[in-house]
This record gives sequence, structure tokens and C-alpha cells, in this order.
Amino acid sequence: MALTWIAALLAWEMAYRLIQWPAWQFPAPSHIIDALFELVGFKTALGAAMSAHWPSPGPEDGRRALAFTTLWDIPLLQGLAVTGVRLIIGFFASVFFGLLLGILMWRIRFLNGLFGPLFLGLQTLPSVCWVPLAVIIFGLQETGVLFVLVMGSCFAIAIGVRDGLRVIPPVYQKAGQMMGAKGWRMYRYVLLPASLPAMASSLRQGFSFAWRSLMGAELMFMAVRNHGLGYLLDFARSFGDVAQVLAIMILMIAIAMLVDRMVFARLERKIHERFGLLQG
Amino acid sequence: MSLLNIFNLHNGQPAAPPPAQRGHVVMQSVTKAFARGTAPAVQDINLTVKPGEFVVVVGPSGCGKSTLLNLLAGMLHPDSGSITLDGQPVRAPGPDRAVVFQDHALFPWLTAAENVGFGLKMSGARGDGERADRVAEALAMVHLSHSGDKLVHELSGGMKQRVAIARALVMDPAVLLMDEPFAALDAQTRTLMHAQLQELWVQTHKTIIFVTHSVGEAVRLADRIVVLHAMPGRVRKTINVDLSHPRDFDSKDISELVQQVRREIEDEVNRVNSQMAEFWKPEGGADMDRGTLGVGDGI
Repeated sequence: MALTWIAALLAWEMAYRLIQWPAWQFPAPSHIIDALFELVGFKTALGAAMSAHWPSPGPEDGRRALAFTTLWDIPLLQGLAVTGVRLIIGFFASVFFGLLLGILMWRIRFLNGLFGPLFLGLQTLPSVCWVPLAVIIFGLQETGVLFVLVMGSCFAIAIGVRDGLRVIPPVYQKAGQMMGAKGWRMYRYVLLPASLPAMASSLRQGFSFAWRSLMGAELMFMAVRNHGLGYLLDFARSFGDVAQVLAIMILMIAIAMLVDRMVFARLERKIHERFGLLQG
Repeated sequence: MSLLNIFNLHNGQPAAPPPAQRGHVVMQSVTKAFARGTAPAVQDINLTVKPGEFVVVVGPSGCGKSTLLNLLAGMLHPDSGSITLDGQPVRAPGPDRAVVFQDHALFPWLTAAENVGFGLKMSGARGDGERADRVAEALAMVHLSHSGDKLVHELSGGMKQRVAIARALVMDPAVLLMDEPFAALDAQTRTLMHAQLQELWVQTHKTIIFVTHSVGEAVRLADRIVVLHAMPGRVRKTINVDLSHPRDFDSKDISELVQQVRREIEDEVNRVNSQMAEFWKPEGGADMDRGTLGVGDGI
């Protein structure tokens, strides 16, 4: 599989060098590698020159000046830090509200009737559609970015939590009652652990929603002082730097996949192992 | 008081069972319908179970056996009539009426030992040390001392039900309610479980109310068999089984009694089937297959 990928990338590179289509429209993998290195402050020139002056190490290109004074000046590090902090705060807020709403919807039929269809409907709304509202309410502030993130993921988490609680086999609750689990103990020691497999899945889904919302919000909230990954993407676009656009898109996918694999998939697998839900 | 003292496990010999004072169950004209205006699932049930008695409720599918057990457990409430345990009305599920469910209902996120200790943890009164001792004793009673650390999915079907029985017994309930606990097991395992349950009962002399659709199982285990009608669920007959414990499951007495009880139930099934045939009769009056409804006899 890996070999096939490498072969495909090599074919792409070869095609580029043979056909020589305009690099500003469609760069070769080597350009993207250059762009990735540039994001962390190294100038490489693996790719064929995109123009007569490319790569241009000179000070005439202020944006590409490599005289970084602090780590914070390295675009990618700053972008990752800003995006990471936003993601952590926003995702935890989202999980909090999602759990709260999900449990309430599960317990109170009226609230489920009220919110259930609404939340399902809201899931069809692309999360960037919250941006105008966030701009008006919060202005171009961090709170606006977080608002879009939370709105983009907490409803999906709420629905997932509600459904997870619904599918708990009733016999667990019966068994808990029979052994004297009452009130909060029923929640803490029976219902919460029983819903873990479904909870893990809805957290995993919630994360991917949160990530997408955050990227969209960062693209739209260019004027916020801190610059996340989404900002870098649109910044590269404004310079017409297609290699960097592609490099950042690849990074976005890679980060989301990495977190999904390392955190959420692993959590899900651990729980499924415990419950004996794995095949084989 | 420790379980060991009650059950006298140390010397291996079941001592003369202590007279069971607890576990006197009285159902008086209990009726339960699941929806208003429909035929009741159980109707006018009168049943008295003496302390230390092993009663098996048997009947065709849909005769209200499980409803009866859920009523006793307090998971359902009768529309009319009363249920008492040792003079106290049964209102809600509680540790004095431990239930062994058909599909074991062990918590998959806990180990076998944690499952057994769950009820003690919920009652909260005992320290961790004593809890661990009692869990170990209960696991020893079902011959699972070495499987306490196993997760539920690592246990075989029979082991799961033994853990479920240990989980019920550890709470020292007044009555043990068993809802077709061995229905999902293979025949060999089931026979083993019958022997072990009998041994446990001889040791503890708990009041046991055991529901099954298997006549063979009923005859093997019961002091008294209660045969239920179907549609609506009513007590049709009670049969005393005057065979001493522990029983030889292969003896002639048992197989004769099985034949007798089976005939009684088959009559009952035929009655229900002919009613249903009457009800569902198509235009041409095709004959319905008779005598197969629910006399599942897995032994």
C-alpha cells in the first residue's frame, strides 16, 4: 500500500516534469514538500522553479524572510498552537454541552420532542453558516471562533449521547435496581459505564465535527489577532501560493487523522475490548 | 455473619440446613394487564411460597411466567391484588429479592469479581476488606474462585450464569428469583448447572422461585411445580415433587414425572392452540399444527 502511494507520487512528479504545466495552478509533490519545510522555517528547493526568481531567498519577499527571532514567529508553530488551544477549549465546551443536552433529552421526553428534530436539522447546516451570527454577536474575537466550533459539534454530540443512552439494554438497569443502585449511583455506576461504547463513538464523531468547524471558522475570522491553521490557508491563498495551500490542507487532514487514531480510535478500541465487542 | 458460617463450606459436607426463616412469599389474587382493556398477562394468581421452598413455575410460552417473576421482583406492579415478602409489601426492586436473569445481565465493563461485589458496593455499609472476602466466598460457592479477574466476555455461558448466581447470593437475599437462567446453555452445561444449583440450594436453603418452559428442568429441581395456563395466565395446577435432594437426574421417578407433567401441559397447549386456530381460522378452515406451541423441552 505504501509502495503504491510512493509510486503514485513519483508518477505525479514525473508527469509534472515532463508536461510542465503551470506550477501556480498545479504544483508537483516536490513543491508541496518545499512549502511544508518553509512553514517550519527551512528553505528547500526540491521542486522545479515556479518562476525565474523561484525559490527567492531574498529580503524582497518579506513574508518568506527566514530570520525568525522566536519560535512564535514560525508560522506553522504559531498556527498549531493557536489552533490546538482553540480546539481543546472548544471541544471540551462542546462535550460539556453535548453531554448535558443529550442526557436531558434522554430523560425528559418533552425536551427530546422539542430539541430532537431541531438538532438533527442543525446538523444539516454547514458550520461556517454560524460565522455571520458569531461576528455580529461576538465581533471578531476568539469567542466568536469558539462559538462556531461549539455550534458545529455539540448538537451532533448531544444526539449521539442520547442515542447511546437509549440503546443501553434495559436489563442492566433492572440488574442495577435489583442490587440496590439508586439515584445518582444508578447514573454513575450503571448507566454511564453502560453507555461508554456509544459515548466513545459520539466523541469521535464530535471531534471530526469540531475540527471541520474550527477550520472553517479560522478561514472566515481572518481579522482575529491570533492566527491558526485556517488563517495560514487563506493567507497562502492570498499570495496565490498553491503549493502552500495544498501543504496546509494536507496538514489539516494529517492532524485530524492523527488525533483520531491516537486518541479517539484508541479510546474506542479500549472500550470495545473491555466490553468484548471486538470480532475475533 | 459470614457466608461461610451460613453455608458451611469449610468442611465440604453440607451440614443440616439451618431453618430458613426468611423468604415467605405470598401473592394474593394478583392481576396484571400490560395495556388497558387488553387480556391480562396474569390473572388472579394466588401463590404462597414457604421459606426455603424451591418452586418452579412452568408453562407454555406467553403464559405470563416472566410477568409473574417481574411482579415478584418489583419491576412490575400488579393492577390488583397484593404481593408480600415476609409480611412486607413488594413495591420496588431490591437486594432482598435477587434476580438471576435469562441473559445473565452481568455488567461487561466489570470483572467477574467486581460484578459479584456490585450489590455490596451499592449497599455501601461494608468496608473493602469484608467486601472482598464475601465476593471470594460467593465465587467459591459457584466454583469460580480462579476466574474473579476475568472480564465477562472471557467467560463461557455457564460461567456467566454462575457469576450471576454468585452476584445474587452474595447479597444474602430472602428469596432468589430465577428467570429461565439456563435456557441459553447447551444440554451438558445445563445438566451441570442443575446439579450445582441443587447443591447450592441444599447448602443454603434459600427460597427459590424458578421460571422455565422446560418440564424436565422443573421436575429435576422443584419441591413444587406450579403449572400456568396461557391467555390469560392463571395457575392451572400445582404438583408436589416428593423426591429427596440431591436427585439422580436419570432416575425412573424423574422421567415418569416428566411424562406426567408434560401431558398436563400439552393438554393446555392444545387448548390454547385450538382457541387460536378458531380465532385465526382462514376461509377454508385449514387445520392448524397442534401441540407444538411452547413445549420447548431442552433437556
